[in-house]
Parts: sequence; C-alpha cells; structure tokens
Amino acid sequence: MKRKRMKGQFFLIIAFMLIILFYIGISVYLSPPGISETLSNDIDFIINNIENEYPVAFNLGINESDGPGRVINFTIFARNLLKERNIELYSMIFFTESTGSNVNVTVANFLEEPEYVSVGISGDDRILYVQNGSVNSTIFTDPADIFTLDIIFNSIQKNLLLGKYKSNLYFYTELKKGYDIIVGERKT
Amino acid sequence: MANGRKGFWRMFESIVAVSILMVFVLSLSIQYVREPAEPIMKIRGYEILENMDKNDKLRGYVMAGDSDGINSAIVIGGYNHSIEICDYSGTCNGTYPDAENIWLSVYYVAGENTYDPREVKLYIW
Repeated sequence: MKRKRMKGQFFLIIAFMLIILFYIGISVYLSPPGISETLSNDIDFIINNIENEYPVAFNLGINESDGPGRVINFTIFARNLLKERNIELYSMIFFTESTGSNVNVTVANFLEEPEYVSVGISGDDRILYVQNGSVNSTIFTDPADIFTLDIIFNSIQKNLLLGKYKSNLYFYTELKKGYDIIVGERKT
Repeated sequence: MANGRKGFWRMFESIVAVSILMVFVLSLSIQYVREPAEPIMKIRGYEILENMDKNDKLRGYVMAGDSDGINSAIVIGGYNHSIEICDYSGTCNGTYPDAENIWLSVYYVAGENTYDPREVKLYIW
C-alpha cells in the first residue's frame, strides 16, 4: 500500500517555524530603540536646570546683599512660567548667613501648604511656622565654626554640615507634570 | 472527488502560508515607518540648550538679549528653529514661528554678572 506522505503540511510547519525564528531574531537585533516614557519627560531637564540656577541666583544675590531674596524671586519667576505649561514647581529652601558671631537661618516655603519646620543647631531645636509663598527666620547664638543644621519638614529629615562664616543654601524641589513627579535636593 | 479535496487543502495551505508571511512583513515594516515621536524633538531642544550653557555659549547671548546669536549657534538637521528670550516682566525678544506642529523647549537663566532672570524658548518645527 502506498504510504501517503504529507509533504504540504510538513513544509508549511517548517516554514512557519522558520518565520517565527527569523522574526524573533531580526526583531531583537534590528528593532529601533523603543521610546521609553522617561525619554518623553522633559521635567528631568527642567529640574536639573532649576537646581543649577538656584546657586547662581544665590551667589548673584549675595553680591547684591540679598542672597535669599534673589533665590525666592527666581523661584516665583520659574513657578509662574512653568504653570503656563501645566508644570508645578514646589520648593522648600533653607538659607544660613552669619551675622557677626551668630547665624541667621531663613526658611522659604513654596510647597503650596503652610508648614511647620524644625531647625536646630546642637540640640537647640526650634519650630518655625512658614506660610506658603512666605519666609520665616530665626537666629542661633554663636554656633561652632562648623556646625550641623538639623532640619525636619514634611517627613523629610536632614542633617547639614555647614560653615558658620559662609552663606549656605539647601533646597528641596519637586516638579510635577500630570502624573509624573520628580524630586531633587541640593546643598551649596 | 479525492483530487478535488486534495486541491482544496493545497489551496487552503497556500492561503495560510501567504497570510503568515504578510503578518510577518507588515509587523516588521510598521516599526520602521513610524514617525519620530514628538517628545524626541522636545528633548533634543532641551539637550541643545543645556549643552550650550555647559559650554558657556548661552548665558552671554541671553543676558545681551541676542536671540539671533543663539539661533545661529544651533544646528538641527531637517528642522527649522527660532529663539525667544523673555525677561521677568514677560517682554520677549526673538521670533515666534508661524508654523503648525511646533516643539517648545525652555531654559531658565538667573543671570550672569547681576541677577536678571530670563527664560529662553527654543522653537523647533
């Protein structure tokens, strides 16, 4: 009896397997790079830009005897312009400046809500109530030349090693665009 | 009758084979004809401004209000571009493009020798 050989189906199956293998190989090797969500997110660049410009504003302000004022002004400038593009900028900014042998600590709040901020040097902890868009400050008497400023706000706690006779800046920033949020902080 | 049935199956097999090949070819080609996504050009704009600032080629122009100078220093193959520089009061100097589908990248400068914040807008189309 002549055995029927299923040539057609055999070739079809083999062709199908080869196509699958070829497709897998070529799609892995030759596929264009995928466009990730992070690539489409411009707030990475914007927050980097803002973080780099804060110290510039601070230093230029120091030359004009108003370091904190210039940083606050720049924050308001950037916030207003970013709002036009549906991007929200939130900041909490800390400044220290020496006044003789004492240190003046100033806090500027741009977190959209009033905040209770704890600032302390060598166990001398104080609570500052800072309205949104406003500043508050306190003076510490004759701290060490190198001191640690302990700050607590919003569940964020920082211990900053600072020089007494140097103007210092620490800021925490958040940039929000839609559901994307990016957070940054820097001490200078 | 048996031959007719065999012919039917052969035809069916060839139709299936061609369909599989078409799906394969189409799925490959779709990946390569896709237009560059909008976010890529926007990101490119940010990178350009950031790199110019890192190389000290941006700030001087910005503080001088020289939007043409910044625009001349930018090269983006296949696209047009223009620059606007806006100050704190919202007064802008430069060219807003008359085009559809414009990508905008912005960069903020606090000042150079004095505090004088500016916003740089790079339009790409």
